[in-house]
Amino acid sequence: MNELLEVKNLKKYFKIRGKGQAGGRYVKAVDGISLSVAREETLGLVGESGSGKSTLGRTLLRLIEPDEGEILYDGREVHTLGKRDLQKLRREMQIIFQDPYSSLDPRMTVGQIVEEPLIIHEPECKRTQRTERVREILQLVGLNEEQMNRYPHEFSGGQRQRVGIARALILNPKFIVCDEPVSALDVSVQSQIINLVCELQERLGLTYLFIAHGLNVVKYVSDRVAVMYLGKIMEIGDAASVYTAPAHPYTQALMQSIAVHTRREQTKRVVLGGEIPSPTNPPAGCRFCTRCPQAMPICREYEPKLMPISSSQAVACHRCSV
Amino acid sequence: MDGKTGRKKWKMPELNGGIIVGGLLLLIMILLSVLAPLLASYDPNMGEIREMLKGPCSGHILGTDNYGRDILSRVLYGGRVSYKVGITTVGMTVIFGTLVGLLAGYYWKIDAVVMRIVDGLTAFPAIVLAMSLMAVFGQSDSNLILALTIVYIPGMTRVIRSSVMSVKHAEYVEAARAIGSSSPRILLRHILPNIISPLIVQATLVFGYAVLAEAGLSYLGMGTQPPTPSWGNMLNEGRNFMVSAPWLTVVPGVFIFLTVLALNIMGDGLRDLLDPKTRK
Repeated sequence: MNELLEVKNLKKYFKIRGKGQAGGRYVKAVDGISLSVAREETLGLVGESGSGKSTLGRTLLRLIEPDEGEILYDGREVHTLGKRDLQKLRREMQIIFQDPYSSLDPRMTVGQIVEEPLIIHEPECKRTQRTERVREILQLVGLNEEQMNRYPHEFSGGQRQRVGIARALILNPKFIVCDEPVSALDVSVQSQIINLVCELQERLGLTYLFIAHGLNVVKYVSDRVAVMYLGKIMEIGDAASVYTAPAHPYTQALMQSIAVHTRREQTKRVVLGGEIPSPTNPPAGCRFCTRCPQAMPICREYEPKLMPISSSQAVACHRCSV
Repeated sequence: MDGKTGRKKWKMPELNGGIIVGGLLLLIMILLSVLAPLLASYDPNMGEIREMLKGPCSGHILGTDNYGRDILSRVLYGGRVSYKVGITTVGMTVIFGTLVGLLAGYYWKIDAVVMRIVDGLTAFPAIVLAMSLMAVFGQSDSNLILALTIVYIPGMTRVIRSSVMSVKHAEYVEAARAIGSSSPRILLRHILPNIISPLIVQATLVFGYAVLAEAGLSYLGMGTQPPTPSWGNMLNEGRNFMVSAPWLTVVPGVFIFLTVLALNIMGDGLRDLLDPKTRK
């Protein structure tokens, strides 16, 4: 079996505190998600704000505790690990954060930030060795060693994100959650960071869960793509199939929202109306039915299951299963 | 060489104006009290009735009080009590207040219990609480410090706790957790350095409060007992002569003012020094 990470029916509900209308109810951020990521593959995870994609990424690393479901990493049950074992596992599973301005401790130098994982996980490692490793990793991500003693605020957004990547990489992890690593950066820098992320994957044999809110970024990096909406996966499949033949109306709408001007035929665009509904009170039936241009009566009553429509693509939509 | 070892050799941080000015002023003030036996030309507790309530003159540079005691000598000796009480109180308040505040801000279970106690303590006016504590503990300098520490811990705890709460959801704290940092490590290495500014501000405030509270308690007969001078009881004794002999109150008042000023300037400088963004 070539799966590095497998998730089965994962759920994370946040209870809303206080009284009032929403009090005591739950935000269903991640609501029964199953997926798998193969070794050295990149799974792109796409969805609007509030679709639960960041929560999913963090729950996989148990930065947020899951409520239900299983997380299997390399055959180990991540969801049942105790504190000690979880700490060991952190060596192998890392995360790159969205905002490089807030994810680096402003009181620590870049060298200290990158070195910290080594101090925690390899206490036997001597200081000189540590420094050597920090220097190597900084070079790997395209920073130079003179910058070790500088503080994060002295760097640009792109450089800071490189520091964040260096911190994630220094323990030689196998699996990395990239939580919208470029969405806080200037467009001109985005491609540099994306290229770096791709390059590192090839050199180090990394496996990524690449979270983004638009399909255009994910397009360049992903082998497979999963589309999330209100805590559920709407469509998952090979990047090629999802991009050329999106099956779910939501994916279709997302596809058409990007880069229309490059296409010859200006097909009729489907523009989604309204906002993503509140995850405290998701619509009955299909989650997408309130905004779906192709909704049928059955969509409002029964929730469609994620069904394969080809060997490489699965969709949760009544239209596709009939 | 820095590049070779890659580690910053510990350099004397470049002191800024605030630290130098405030530090020097504070140093002078403390030295004046420490060296009081050498500097004072009169016994601070012995008065000469004939000399009473004399204004500043050649014999008594800062005048005399209503018992004919030399104000300069008294204010120098008085600083010893005030500094002892002020500095020790600040030190203990910072240590315990920070500890409790960190824990309360970070662990909500501790928070629920601790903050009720803190709220309870805050309900009493500081001076009333200190008085009742002194009544329980009995009268002595160390009990005075203990009582004042208990009085000022809640304020410190509140400041630290709210700072911790604003910092603990920062992404860099989550990042620290993601790399496997333990909670104590997160608290000490990531959260504490980032809340140092409010801590310093609160500490300088507490010093001023403590000196004044010591004064108030002395006045009520629970602090330093006369005739031993402290700035506080000098102020209080001089109150009756505020109009006819203002130097009785002005002199200790100026000493308190200068000390708090020095601490404030130094605190500001210290805050800048510890903040990488303002450090050059």
